[in-house]
Amino acid sequence: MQDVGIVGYGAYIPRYRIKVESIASVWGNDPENYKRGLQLREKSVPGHDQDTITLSVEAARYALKRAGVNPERLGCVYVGSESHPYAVKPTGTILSEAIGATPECHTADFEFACKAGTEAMYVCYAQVKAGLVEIGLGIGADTSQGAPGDALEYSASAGAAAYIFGTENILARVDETYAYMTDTPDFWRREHQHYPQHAGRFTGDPAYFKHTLGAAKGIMKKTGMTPEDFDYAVFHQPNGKFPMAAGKKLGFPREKIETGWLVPWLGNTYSGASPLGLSAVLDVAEPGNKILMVSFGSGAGSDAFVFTVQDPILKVRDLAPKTRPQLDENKIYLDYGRYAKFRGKILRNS
Amino acid sequence: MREVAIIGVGLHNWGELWDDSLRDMFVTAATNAINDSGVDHIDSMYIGCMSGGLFAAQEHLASLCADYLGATPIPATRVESACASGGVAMRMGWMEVASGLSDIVLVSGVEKMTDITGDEATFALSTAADTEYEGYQGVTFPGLYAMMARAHMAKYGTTIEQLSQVSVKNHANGALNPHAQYPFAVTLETVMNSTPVADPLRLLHCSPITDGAAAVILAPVELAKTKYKNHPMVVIKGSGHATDTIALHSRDDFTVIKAAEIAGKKAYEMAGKKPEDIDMAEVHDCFSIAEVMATEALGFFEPGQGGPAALRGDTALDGSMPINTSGGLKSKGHPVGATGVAQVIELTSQLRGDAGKRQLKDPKVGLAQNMGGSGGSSVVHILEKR
Amino acid sequence: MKIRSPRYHREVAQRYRLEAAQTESGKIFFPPRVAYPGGETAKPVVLKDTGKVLTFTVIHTPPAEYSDLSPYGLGIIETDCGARLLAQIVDCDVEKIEIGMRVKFEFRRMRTEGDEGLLCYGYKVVPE
Repeated sequence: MQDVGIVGYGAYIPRYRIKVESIASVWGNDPENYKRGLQLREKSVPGHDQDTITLSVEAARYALKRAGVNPERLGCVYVGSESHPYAVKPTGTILSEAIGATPECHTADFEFACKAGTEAMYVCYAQVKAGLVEIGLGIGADTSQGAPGDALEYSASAGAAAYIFGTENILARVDETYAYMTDTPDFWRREHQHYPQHAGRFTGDPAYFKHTLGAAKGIMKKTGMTPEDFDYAVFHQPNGKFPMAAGKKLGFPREKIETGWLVPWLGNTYSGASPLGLSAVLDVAEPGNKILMVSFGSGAGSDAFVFTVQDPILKVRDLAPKTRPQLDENKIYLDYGRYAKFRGKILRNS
Repeated sequence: MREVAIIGVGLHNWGELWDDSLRDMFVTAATNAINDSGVDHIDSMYIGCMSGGLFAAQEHLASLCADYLGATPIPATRVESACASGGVAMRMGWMEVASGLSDIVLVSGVEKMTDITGDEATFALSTAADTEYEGYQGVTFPGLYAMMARAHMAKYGTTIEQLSQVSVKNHANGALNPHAQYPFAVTLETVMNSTPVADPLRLLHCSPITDGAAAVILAPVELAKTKYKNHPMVVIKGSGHATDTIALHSRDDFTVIKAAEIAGKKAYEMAGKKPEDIDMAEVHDCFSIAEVMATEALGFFEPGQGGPAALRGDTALDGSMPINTSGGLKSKGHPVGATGVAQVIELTSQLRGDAGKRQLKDPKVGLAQNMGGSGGSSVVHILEKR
Repeated sequence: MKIRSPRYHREVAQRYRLEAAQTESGKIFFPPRVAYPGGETAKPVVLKDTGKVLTFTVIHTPPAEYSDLSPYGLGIIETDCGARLLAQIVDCDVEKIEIGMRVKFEFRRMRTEGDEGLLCYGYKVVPE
């Protein structure tokens, strides 16, 4: 069968940040608890005028720059997020209109907690692999919400990564995919609720680790690969600790994970988390490198991908802003008051 | 064309008039003008009003105003050109008399702006800009004029002190005007330290929101000479009217109000006058930068010299070129549709020698410049004492 | 006044994709028009997504729909293809905006029509 892979990618991280200390001081918490325990230092915050749609559009535009393709050729556009701005009305239509992909295009919004982004990539890849579309776009994006005072507030952040899949000028070939899923109530948000609920420590072993490790082991078994065969690994990163612990249990050395380990400074971008980790790796990986990516979404499940980096990446990676510089440069720090206003956490008269 | 005289003027008090409706304000101003002129009938009328609909939920002012004035079935026409509605109504009335179509024409302007909240009034005013390509970006009128001010400062070195002096001068004049909404003096320091609105403009660089009405009666000079002799005769010598792009960003130069320049040229040409022949002017100082740019567009000062001239006192009551002796929009108030008519009333009062404490010494020729939006329309009239 | 669907939908090509028109003599019109001065015809073009600030202000007393953003920069932008348009200047310290500053366009949410109405999108600029 014909090779299918990533032919364009783009990452977008908002410029605003809030430090763990700024949140902790409001709630009387010890910031060291979050910095040491969960390895969180600061997180991205969407601007008052940004949401999952605007972040997705910017990431998609960067991906199109690297792919060098006419957006009208996109046969499908999928956006995974748990913060689609409309409850009813697709993110994908607005996104597709903004990048010029309409009207001959299949679009859908995905939702599967933090896994929705790789889900969009998974289905997009499958469409291309099946020969139903020539090229397609899959995006993971979120402006995630953590309830004020909740532990999630220290991590819930914003960002997007977009991937165009195709068969020509492949930057990273998809060698294998694998999905692992059970019904596990670790985290949820009911209809009309503003903030999600989570099951505390139950989100660890029975949820994150069971599925992440299950998917990683599954895809390695399917491909006959071991951690030694990979140059980079990206695991879903709800905090700084979990992906490192997952890697350790699987036998991945820390340095293979660090390149895509953005969470201490980015926070948990939910559907964007694994895709952004992958884009940070693609920014620096060499042709021939093997990459393992395993996402995780509460509820719960994981998608796993094995990629092999291809030569054309060297020619296109500089055509759009890279991931790490967006994370490290031009930051604007918010105090808790402005952060609360930006995130709509203040009760007001309508 | 027949020469046209202004034979009567009338105002309704300006301010935040909680008890007065749009129709009542109009009728008071119109009645005052009719009484001032001594006419026993009117043939036709014009009403300048920017947005009866958005400000007072009332359109069809032609019928409403004619009805409540007791003037039906005469023809009545509501004229709209944003903040230049009153000035354009003046021109329509002048045309009707000059053409010979009617003899006695009432021209009025009215705006009832305080029946709604400040936010709603800001929205109503913003519709004078390009709603889709300026308003949608979150611009306000102070914002548009602030961008002109910034460009003017960058090109000519105009200073915030110069702009502030315009407000100081207009408040000094307004303090002498019993009809002014804010008849008090302000210091340069007060203006420069007032609340920021749109950098570099502050609150006291901006005209207020005002309820008010104004009206004049026009008649052919030949008829006025014989029949309407209550006052020294004031004649409309020139009328000029021009438009420009609705959006500020579509213009080549943000430091010139082209519509005012062209309207001025046409009015000068018709009147056979030059800028140096003008003894006083009422210009559209919706924001202090607008007065500076208007005085340049009308040729009173070279481009870039409007600011220094204001700071030197050239435009003060005792200066070489008195501007806005009424207090201008800044101090007298700015009920948008009424402003253009009220400018003509101030000039008429000065030419008649009726301007009280702010009376200039024997002025002969005055100019009124009224403007819509960010300069998308402008109308100029030149008046002379006969 | 709330923006309703027909008015919003009509402007999407311009606001989402910066679609414009260029006349035979080279002048760019944004948005495209039905007729052009001098009877010229025009072909569709898309504006360059970078440019510079020609003049600007900082809005301290915004319209109600924009009040959450206050204070915000607003400037007349000349795109690198020579078109002029008004845009908010965001993601920067408003004290540091200056004439000549280089900017690039980004897709942003412009306003929301209450808790129930449309979410309205469009272009703003950020420092390049």
